[in-house]
Amino acid sequence: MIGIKTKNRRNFLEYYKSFKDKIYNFFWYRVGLNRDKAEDLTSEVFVKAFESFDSYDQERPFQAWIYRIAQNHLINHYRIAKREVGLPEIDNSVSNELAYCFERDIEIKFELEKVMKVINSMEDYHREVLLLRYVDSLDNAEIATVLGKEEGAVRAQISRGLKLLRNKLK
Amino acid sequence: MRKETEKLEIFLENLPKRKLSIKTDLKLRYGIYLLILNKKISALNINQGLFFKNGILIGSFLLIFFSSASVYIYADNKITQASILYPLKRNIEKIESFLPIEANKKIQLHSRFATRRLAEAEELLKNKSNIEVNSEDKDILKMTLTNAMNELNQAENSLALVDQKASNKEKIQVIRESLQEKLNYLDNLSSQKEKEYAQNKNESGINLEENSNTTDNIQKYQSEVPRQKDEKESYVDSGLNREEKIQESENINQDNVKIVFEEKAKELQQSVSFQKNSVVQKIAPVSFPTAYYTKQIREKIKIFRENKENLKNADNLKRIKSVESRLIKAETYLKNGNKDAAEKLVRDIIVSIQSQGNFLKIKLPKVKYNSENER
Repeated sequence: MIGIKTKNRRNFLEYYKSFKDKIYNFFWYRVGLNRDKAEDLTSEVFVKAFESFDSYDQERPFQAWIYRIAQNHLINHYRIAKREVGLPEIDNSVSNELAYCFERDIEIKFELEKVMKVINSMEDYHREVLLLRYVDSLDNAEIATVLGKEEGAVRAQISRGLKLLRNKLK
Repeated sequence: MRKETEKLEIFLENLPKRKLSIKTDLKLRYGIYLLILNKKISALNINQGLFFKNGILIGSFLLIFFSSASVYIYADNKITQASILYPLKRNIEKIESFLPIEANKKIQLHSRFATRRLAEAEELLKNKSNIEVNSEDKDILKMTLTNAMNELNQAENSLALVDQKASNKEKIQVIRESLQEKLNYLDNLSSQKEKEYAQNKNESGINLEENSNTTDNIQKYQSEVPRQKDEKESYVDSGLNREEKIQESENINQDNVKIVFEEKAKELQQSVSFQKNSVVQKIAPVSFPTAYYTKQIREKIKIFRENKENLKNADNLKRIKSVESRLIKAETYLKNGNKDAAEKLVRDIIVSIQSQGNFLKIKLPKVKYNSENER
């Protein structure tokens, strides 16, 4: 019965180990490469995930499930940040953060900075599908689950997003 | 074109990937361990008794039920300090407060916890029937409010680390004032209670300690049994042997103690009920909107009278006249500044309207008038 099912369940900590960096990266790219904020959001998402782990159906992919939680948490985060105007954001510029990543390769740094600026200026849904596809390495079906959309629509959005990005970078 | 797109795709796929810092990783991992531990402990504590009594089936069901319930416990304001699940809730909060790095997050978190403590205190105050006049409940309330104050202090400490935005400060100030108000109220309540006890002591001659604790009462009266038993042993032999005599005297004593105890219990019950009512009135001084209801009833009467079909019924006429005459009285009291009398009368009118199926279709207050005392 329930006991047999729980025996085969993968431990939450195993999932945590596999996905902690992925979720951290998910937030890092979405909060202006702010390390502290990304870490806090990652912690909150895993606490949230743990709390509702009982309701997680192990037949389904964990990746889509945890990204869905992260996506909702991010939306919530921005909503609260908008409402509570008083809370200041720590202003670490993208440039500084990238300089930290590419101390030696200045050329890549500039190129990356340019791409990030363009991506950040894109419409929400285009930016989101591109980041989920290329930064988070999710396949189309998983992106569809996370965003609650049809797989076909996701495919079309990725292609449109790439086209837009390419045109803007020209 | 395709080449360019492929190049862009490769570039995007090779965007830098960062790793979670070891510090955060350890913190988070520790937090998860604690959460797991809490979940298991909470499930075990609650289920242990039933597990052996009713078998594995119910046990496992409850285990699953309570482990998923911890999610609700965490955010439920009804889980107050008086609840057995409260430690679990506080532990989850402790873990949560341990995780954030940013000062902003800490402020948000502690403010949220303080608000939650406040909501718990309000929940305790709201359930008037659950609030006994004993000091234990008062302590629980006070502890809840003190915890809220501590959370606020922590939020304020975090606030000092970042830009001191006015909105945050104001928010904290509002919660603080509300807490202070409640703490003052509890202090007043405490002194008021002492006065009432002292008064009762003078009037009825009943020991206050006896009043405050029923189990103490039982023990005290039970301890009187052997003393009375010795006295009974000196009775003249009436043909029964010594053991029978002792047994008989014990029975008599027990009956006597029972009667005395029942009397005392009755007195105690009356006294507690009286004090409870007076304290409940003081602990939650709900200002009854007499003027508002007077106006409401007046308007409804007008609407009621406008419908001529209502007036064809003799019973309706009788009802409305009765309400109207009392309402005029209440209005006069209000004009003369006799608020208490006006409130009493308006409450009576509301009760009578309620008892007649709310024939005026007026939105009535959610207050039950079950007994004379409460009225």
